[in-house]
Amino acid sequence: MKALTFHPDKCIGCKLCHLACSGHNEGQFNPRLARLQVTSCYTRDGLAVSGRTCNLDLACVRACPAGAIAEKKGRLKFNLEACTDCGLCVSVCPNQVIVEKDRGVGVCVQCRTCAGWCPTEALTFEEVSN
Amino acid sequence: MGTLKIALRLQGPFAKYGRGTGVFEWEMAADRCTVEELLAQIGIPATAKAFVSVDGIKRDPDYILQGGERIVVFPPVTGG
Amino acid sequence: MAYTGRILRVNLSSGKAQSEPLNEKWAREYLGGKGLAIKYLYEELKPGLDPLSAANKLVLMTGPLTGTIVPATGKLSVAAKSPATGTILDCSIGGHFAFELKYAGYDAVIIEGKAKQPVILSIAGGKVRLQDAVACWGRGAHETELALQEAMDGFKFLVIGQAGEHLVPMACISSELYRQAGRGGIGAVMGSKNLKAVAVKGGGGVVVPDIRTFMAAINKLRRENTMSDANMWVYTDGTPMIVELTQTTGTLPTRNFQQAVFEDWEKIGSEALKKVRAAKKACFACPLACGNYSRTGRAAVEGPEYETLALCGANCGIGDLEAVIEFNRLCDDCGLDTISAGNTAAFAMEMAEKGIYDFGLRFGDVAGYLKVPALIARREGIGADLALGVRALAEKYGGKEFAMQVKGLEFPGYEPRGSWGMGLAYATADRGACHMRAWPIAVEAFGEMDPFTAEGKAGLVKEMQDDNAAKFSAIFCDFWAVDGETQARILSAALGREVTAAELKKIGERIYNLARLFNQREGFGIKDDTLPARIFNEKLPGGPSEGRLLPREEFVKILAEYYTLRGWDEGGRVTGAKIKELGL
Repeated sequence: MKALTFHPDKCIGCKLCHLACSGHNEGQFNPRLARLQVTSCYTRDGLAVSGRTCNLDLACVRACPAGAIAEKKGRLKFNLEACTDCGLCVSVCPNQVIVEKDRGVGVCVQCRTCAGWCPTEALTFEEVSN
Repeated sequence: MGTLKIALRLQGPFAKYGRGTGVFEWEMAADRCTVEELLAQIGIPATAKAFVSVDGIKRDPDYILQGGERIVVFPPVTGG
Repeated sequence: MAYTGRILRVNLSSGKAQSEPLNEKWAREYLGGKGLAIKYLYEELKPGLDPLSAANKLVLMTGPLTGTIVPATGKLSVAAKSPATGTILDCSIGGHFAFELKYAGYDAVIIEGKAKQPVILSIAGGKVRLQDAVACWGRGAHETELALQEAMDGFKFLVIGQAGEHLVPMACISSELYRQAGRGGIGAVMGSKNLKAVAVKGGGGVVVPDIRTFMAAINKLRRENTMSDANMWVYTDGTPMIVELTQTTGTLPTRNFQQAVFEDWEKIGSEALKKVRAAKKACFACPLACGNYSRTGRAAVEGPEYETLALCGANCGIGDLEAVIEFNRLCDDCGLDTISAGNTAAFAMEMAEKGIYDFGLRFGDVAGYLKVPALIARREGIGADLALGVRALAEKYGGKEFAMQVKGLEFPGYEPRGSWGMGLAYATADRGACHMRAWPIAVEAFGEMDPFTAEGKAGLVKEMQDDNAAKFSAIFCDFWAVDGETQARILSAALGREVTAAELKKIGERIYNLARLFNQREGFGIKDDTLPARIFNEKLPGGPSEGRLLPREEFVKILAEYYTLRGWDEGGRVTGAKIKELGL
């Protein structure tokens, strides 16, 4: 399957991906609601860049007791009505990119809006092996 | 008609019009040409308002090149 | 909406923090950033107050676009009355702090009073706290911020180094180690309040009308405008590219502005810097990523920027890139403005050369030079004198004619004798010698306009000052060459009301006049709108500007024309008619 892939060597740390994701999927610019996690900051060891994206590992689909998350044609589908707000998906996601909301969760739907905003092609849509 | 040889460096985004970053040799079938004609040859649009340095000195578009010069082409800049 | 509509006011003397509504009328008239910060200070600061007293206020101001996805809007305006000049002072700092403040629910923070002991102001989740900062007082800006970053997850910081603590008039405020609100001693204002750091963590978001349409339009603009050839030099090179432009045009300050070309320019130019570049780094929401993270065996820094390469390199006769990188890192860590620090070192070097006073510093001598930042920041040894800055040093020891400053603020890295408009820009900038209020060199020495004529320069500088005042109030970064029409379109879409380019122009003029009124109230006027004698009397000795000076009579002519175009009287005072016209 193809999924979002992050390339740290290309990332400039502008966070446009976070803004694009939250703007597109949540209707507001709020980097904490983004369904990916990219950081670039100076530490004692110099510049540290890291990023996590949904690689369609599907741990959330397998774990959800209510069947609220499903995978269809390489995309996650979330069903708010079925969701019981148990939070299990958030805790099992190996990439920690499921966002907890007041009601329900935000899962990456591979919409690629983030990649469309990335100025340096640090986010691409590529074949992933799980 | 002779061949005009110029050592060229295209700075910043202009690098895409040449052979990437750094100095390279540019050849033209001409005895002489103006800075403006050189830019047109390279494909840098006149609207780009390039800053051209010839042997370390800023030159106007009508400055005549005779070959053997070192030329650097810069994009316009804003803010310091 | 684009504005949060809330301002946080913190009094460090009483420990009281309260949220108040944003003055919406002022927000319409001054937008945000520079303009709105100056408006608050103009209304709230008593004339004649000591900038380092508890009566001064420190304003942290975002803009209407802060927090949105609009490119190159990541900066924060930081303003106060300047301890270096006594004028109004607004600085601009990149990084990620401004967005975090907006997401924390505030358009601005106004910091008043003085804490009894060192504190850190933290703002998160609607809670405002003062934390004890005794443990980090005395530490460098880097150690302080790294320790805070490790202890406070998700926060962004503004911090000062030792220079701010010691109230050095060239102390800066820094963020993410290498981004600075640099000039005019803004860090000393923070230090005078016993405020070591401000920490902020947001959780909220920013909304705009019809967000999907907005995003589509802005993404197209990002691709076709922001990331076009007109701006991408910022990414490919960044400001170090300017070294070759000033060298080529005879405007690169060298050995305390004695020359305008530097024989070792290639060693500190963009191509040399690219060889040690480890990564590119951006401010929030900026695809242009001006930051060059440079790393050599000895030192690492994000930078050096052009100003540092010019003033701490060529202007000190230093052609050793690694030494400049290290000097830059030391200044950042100590919390010193590199422009003023480089100028001060260079002035001291020329003092020795001229036999006026010997601080043990020589042009080109790396060992002595690298000791300067830490000594200035702690006011130790020669630093006790050097910390005074160029103007006060000259008053104490002599050398006034080559003390390169205006109103007490040291010169940026552009030689006015090689681009006359820069002379007027420095003389009339609201905070002393500054290149960010107007940058006429871009169209003079670097462009098509004759750099050695008075003609057209007054109008050029005025227009640039007004345009930049509006641009820095809407908060678009200097490095995006975005025109007024485009700015107006973006603001209209984000604010959900029509903003026109003409209105922005008016706002810019209003802001520039308000800053002038602030300074006028402090006693500034035509006597202060001048340049050091070197610019008027000494011909440049070589390079493309050989034999050039800016004759005093030509300068006086440009200044008079400038006052007329501004609608000010012959003494440079804002007139009643102008006040009325601009609704001041």
